[in-house]
Amino acid sequence: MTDLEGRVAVITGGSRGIGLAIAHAYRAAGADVVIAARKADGLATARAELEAVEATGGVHTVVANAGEPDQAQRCVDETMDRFGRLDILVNNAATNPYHGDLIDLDLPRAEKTVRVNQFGMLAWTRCAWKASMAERGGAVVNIASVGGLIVDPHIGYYNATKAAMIHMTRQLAYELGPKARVNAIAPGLVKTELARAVWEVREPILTAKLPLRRLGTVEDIASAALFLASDASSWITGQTLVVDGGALALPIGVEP
Amino acid sequence: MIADLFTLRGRTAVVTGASSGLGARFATVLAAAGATVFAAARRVGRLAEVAVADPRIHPVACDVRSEPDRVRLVETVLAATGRFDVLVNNAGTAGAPRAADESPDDFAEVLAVNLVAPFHLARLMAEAAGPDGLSNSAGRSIVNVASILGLVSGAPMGGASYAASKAGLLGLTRELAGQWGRAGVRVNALAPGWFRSEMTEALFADERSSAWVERNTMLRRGGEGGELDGALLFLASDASSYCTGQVLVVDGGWTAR
Repeated sequence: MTDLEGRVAVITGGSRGIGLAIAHAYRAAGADVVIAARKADGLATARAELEAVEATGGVHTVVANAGEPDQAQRCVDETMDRFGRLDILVNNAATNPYHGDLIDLDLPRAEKTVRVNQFGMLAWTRCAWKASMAERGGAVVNIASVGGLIVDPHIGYYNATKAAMIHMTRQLAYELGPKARVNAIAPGLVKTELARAVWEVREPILTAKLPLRRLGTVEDIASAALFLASDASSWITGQTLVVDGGALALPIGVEP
Repeated sequence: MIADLFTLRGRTAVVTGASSGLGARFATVLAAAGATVFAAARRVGRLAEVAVADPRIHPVACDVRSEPDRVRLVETVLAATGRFDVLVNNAGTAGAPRAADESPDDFAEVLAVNLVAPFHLARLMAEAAGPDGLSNSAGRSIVNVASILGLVSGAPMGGASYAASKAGLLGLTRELAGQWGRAGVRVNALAPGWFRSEMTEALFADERSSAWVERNTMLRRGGEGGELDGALLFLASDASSYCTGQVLVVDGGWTAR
């Protein structure tokens, strides 16, 4: 049901964290994976890690900044040259250059956040659509955040770009259907490097507030991403699947 | 491996309303994923036909509106397998499509089946887990089969009691998730859109209304039989072990607009 045999997936921010876990899951399900990231050494390490697991699918790496549309195009071109198709796009890369009150945010950092998290998602989706999905169909999986649905201290603008992703998921589902499906995942707090500053010291306090009493793992997100990329979700589009340990079920911001 | 998370080997599941339509299909899907399935419904004759499909499916006569029947169902499950991991609250009924046509009794009847029964079954499942009401066992999952009509109006084909019961089921899902998460019981809802089923037979038989569904669905068609299988299995299994209190909408994009 979650078989991806013969499919080709491009994953941005694929060299570590959630992106790398998704690459593992897709490859285990039979897909060829193309992982894109900014740093060649990180990609080399990720490739070695992926290839250490026996699977039928190949691994291809591309150095690309998710916020640069030219580099998105080059990655998609390389994917088409090498595999001749692009069935799954995971818009996972994100940046968070600012930590503080929204009211004090400066323009350069706002622009960087929008460029990667919000416009990047659109640029990569457009490239994938034009190169392959418009003809063959496909599935786009956007990694948003529960921050796109709630108010949180310190990362207001990051969250605003995630809210934009959630809305563009709906808009693109409308525009690209019925050929392609477009869905999002809104993870809660996941133990990744990107979020280390948030969880490292406060883990016991944070988990005490969550109904499921633990932080998320990258595998929690990968299983949702496998579901949304595969035919198991063939009639799901425009949706945001929240994977947050039940955080949103509780009154947000209310201390226990 | 991640794909292994979608298995239900060694788990015990209950599906209500399992004698026909989606419920019968759900019982088959869970059994195929390895679960021992107790298929509950009023119509025992039809249940026996469903059970023939897989030796892991056991029919149990149960009117979900009746507390003695619900208690007996849970006792049967525990006596046979000693565990109760997955509850699929699928039994449902629809009232008249026009609100003006719904009598007090009709309205109460729809709520009894669609909202009250799912709560009491969930409560009995939770109670069954241990002396403190809830033991801390991983992998336990409740899937409430709601509807997009719990989120948006179905006019001209909805129903006031139906919509209210399904919206109520979403609130129940969220609340039970908040209360029971710490004990390892996850509670989520599945919200199907316009699927071909016994309940929507007339809708799809009519050319104008089926064109209305296609026109307003992003994927330009109604849902087909097997297209809830993946969502059900995702929510029932450890593939969704970090999801609780959520609504998974399977509607081809109907509500995404």
